[in-house]
Amino acid sequence: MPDIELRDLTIKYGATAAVSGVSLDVLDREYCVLLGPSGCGKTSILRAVAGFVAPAAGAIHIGGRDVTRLYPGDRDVAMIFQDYALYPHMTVRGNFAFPLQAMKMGRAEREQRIREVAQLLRMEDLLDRYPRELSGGQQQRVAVGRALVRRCPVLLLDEPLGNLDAKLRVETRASLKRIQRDLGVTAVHVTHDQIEALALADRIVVMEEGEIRQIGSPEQVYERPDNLFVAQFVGTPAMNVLPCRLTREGERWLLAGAGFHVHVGSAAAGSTAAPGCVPPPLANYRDRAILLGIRAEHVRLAPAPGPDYFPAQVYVTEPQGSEVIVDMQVGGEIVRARGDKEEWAFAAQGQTEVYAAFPFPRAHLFDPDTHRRVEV
Amino acid sequence: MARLKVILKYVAALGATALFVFPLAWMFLTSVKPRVDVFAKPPVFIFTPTFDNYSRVLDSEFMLQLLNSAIIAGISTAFSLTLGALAAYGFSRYGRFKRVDNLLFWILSLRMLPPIAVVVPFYILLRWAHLFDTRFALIMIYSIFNISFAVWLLKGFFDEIPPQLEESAMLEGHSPPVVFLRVALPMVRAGLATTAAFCLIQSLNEFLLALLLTDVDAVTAPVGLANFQRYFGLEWGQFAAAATIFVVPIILFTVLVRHHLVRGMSFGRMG
Amino acid sequence: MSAAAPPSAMQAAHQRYRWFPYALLLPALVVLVALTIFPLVFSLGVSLTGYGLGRAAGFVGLANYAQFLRDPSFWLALRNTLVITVFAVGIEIALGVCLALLFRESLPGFRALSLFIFIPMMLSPLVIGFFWKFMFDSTFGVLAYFTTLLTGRTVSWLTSPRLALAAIIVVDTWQWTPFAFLLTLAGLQTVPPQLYEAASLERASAWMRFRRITLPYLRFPLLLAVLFRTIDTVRIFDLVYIMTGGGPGDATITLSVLAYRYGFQFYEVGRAAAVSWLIVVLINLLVMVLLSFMGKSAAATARSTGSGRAR
Repeated sequence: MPDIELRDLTIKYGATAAVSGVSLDVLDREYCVLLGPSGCGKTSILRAVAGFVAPAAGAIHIGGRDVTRLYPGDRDVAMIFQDYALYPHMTVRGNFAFPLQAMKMGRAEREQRIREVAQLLRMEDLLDRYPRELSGGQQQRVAVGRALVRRCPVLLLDEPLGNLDAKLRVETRASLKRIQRDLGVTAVHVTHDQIEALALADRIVVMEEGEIRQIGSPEQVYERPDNLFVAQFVGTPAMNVLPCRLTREGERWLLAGAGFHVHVGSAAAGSTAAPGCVPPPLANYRDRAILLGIRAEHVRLAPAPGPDYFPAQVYVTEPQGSEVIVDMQVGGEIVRARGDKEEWAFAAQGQTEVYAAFPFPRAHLFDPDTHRRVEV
Repeated sequence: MARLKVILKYVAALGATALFVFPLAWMFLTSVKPRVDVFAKPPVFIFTPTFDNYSRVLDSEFMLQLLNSAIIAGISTAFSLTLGALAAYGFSRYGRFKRVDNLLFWILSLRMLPPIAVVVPFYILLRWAHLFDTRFALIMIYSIFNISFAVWLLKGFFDEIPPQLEESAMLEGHSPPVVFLRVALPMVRAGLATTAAFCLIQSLNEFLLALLLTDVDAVTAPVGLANFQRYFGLEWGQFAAAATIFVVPIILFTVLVRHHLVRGMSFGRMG
Repeated sequence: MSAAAPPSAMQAAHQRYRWFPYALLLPALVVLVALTIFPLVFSLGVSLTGYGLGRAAGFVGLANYAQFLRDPSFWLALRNTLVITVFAVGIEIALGVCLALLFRESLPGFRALSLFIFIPMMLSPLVIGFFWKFMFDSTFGVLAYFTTLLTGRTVSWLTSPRLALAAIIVVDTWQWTPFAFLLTLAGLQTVPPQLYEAASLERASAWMRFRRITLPYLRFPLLLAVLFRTIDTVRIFDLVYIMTGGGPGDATITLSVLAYRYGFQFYEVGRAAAVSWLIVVLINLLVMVLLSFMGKSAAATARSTGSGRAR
């Protein structure tokens, strides 16, 4: 029984549609992340679920109830805002108490809940401070506490980590996940940060321009992107995408692009197709253009030429601790590869001639017109 | 060279300030001058101060007039602030509709109304309703300008509240009236104080309507000051004392709102 | 006004609280409408009658308005009003800008000094006018004393027609220069300091700096000052009433004072109402003209300063 259902949701601001006909099920106790660039509609969906904006069309159900036109306060939903939205004229204790005052709760029970939340977030000594006296990280925790104090079954998060510095972001990420699990709430989290999404989500909903591009687990979205947008949006550095042609070379087929080539079904990688044959879905693309995608961590580098290797010129190297990202020129394009710094020392030292390969099993293929994934 | 420039700047600044302070300072000095020195020719700058003028003024009708002014200004301000705050919030939160925008513009245009245009009909109306020369009448009429001013000024303050604060409160289950009372209103405390101060100043200073719509009972301080010649002849010393008393609270209010002076003044004054 | 802003959560049309916006707006609206519609409509009606002392109100059409065109007092009042407005507003703005330029640096003590300067505009013209009258008095006024010292002649400010008008302009200017000062100062503070730093690197002259950097940011506050001061000065009454009563004779009569005379000295209520309506129309015209300037000016300011500044 899904906890949140969106049916054909359309949200408009004036004449422009921010969200067009989106349908989505969020399962009970699931951590669902809406991921996408700004303007893709993810925040609009969140606000519609909260009740801050009325959809132009479609329906929203929470826990089986139709809440589409319901007042936000009647939906039993909690939210953590991007800028925390703490009440500046109330102490931390006041910020925790205020939501409870709408719930017709006895004083004792209210105090009890406030104490529990303060303990959970280790804020007992901050209860009598005002928000302006707190650090950014502390304010964020107050925002979390205020959302939890009512014990709603649904928790909405609007870019909650956006204002934190990098270190705090990672720590808070873990605690968010833990809290969600421990309390068993259904979470809908909006973000443009795909690393955050991959780390936190049970399922990711990738959106662009008001539509859903893919729904899946982090693994699914990362390893089998449905389309070009998802492929390039998820993953750092972004997936390398190069145009090429499926052509025949003697007995074999290969994907040939400017300055590179990939043998289809190379024996070295153990693919399912026999050499000389083209896997069935690719049959339509014989002698036609196609898009090849390969993630940086799958690009192979070698100091010397070899089968399936082609020359590349090192452009820039970016050391990242134990790894290194190598930007290189292949044909006219920049290709980025990621690998172990010591193994690739030969590339790091400014040597401009290296040899790269794109292993076929790791390649993602996309139709150049529809941008959809081509399965192999 | 730079030092010289700074000194020149100070001289100019002090000179300018003196220019704007002198008449008031002279008025204050006059109020504590013995009668003889008030009318001395050439004017006297050194003298023995006396509070004679003040004790005469305190015994006169002027105190009653001050009281009227205070009551009228106070009640009108309180009334206008209440209605104005509600309406300002309404325009701020629901102001996206064309109709509502027009309504707001009409309210704001009331500020531009010359009082002379409403004096005659009000005169006739008040006479007919037996409300002539009553404090109630002035309170209500002043409220036209005070409400208009309060709506304009407070809307600006309400607009500055981040919407997420109210969204959070709504989500937590509080009804919109509670959101208004416990989230929005506390956050515009400065705006309320500023608006109150300006309304008080404007109401206290108003002259034309008070002049023509009162006679004996509801006479306000400015009218009292204008009638000074009638009651006190050429007693400039006493006038200066009365004027000083009148002016002190206004100066106090001005100091209180000094941080929001631009806002308040760009939105105008009555009359 | 807020066309580009996303709708507030309150507007999401929740069934349960649909009554709330009405509860917010109606009280003020009801009071305002009740208090204003009647007098305005009534006033218009009366301006078309011959309502006056001892006369029954009979419809005379536009006779009251027509009479103005023949009444020399009316033209005099119109002229005086315009003269006062043009001179007072002009001098206020000029002086106010100079003051603002002087005070713009935050030297210690300047803040306190400027507060003193702000006081006159907050006071009642009654107090100010009456006291300046004292100072102008030819017998014992301190100003008359100084002008006699300077010119060697006994100058009687308030009893000579020309000087009386000048005196009113002086006092009004004195009272309201702080307003122009205030707005200009606020405008100066919106100029990003980096622009001046860049200009000093490029060795621009002080005049160039003023013209190219400062002035565009002042356009808006200055126009605002002109708008408000013009509207207020056209309505001027308190100061004139208390200083000269419109005299000597008719020398300093203004439109509002004229209306007052008609209505309350001559009891020509119909005529008084007509003058009042003329003032209203005049002011509305001014407001519209200046508002359209403001609109263009705000756009021009945005263009020339590279910032989108919407009011």
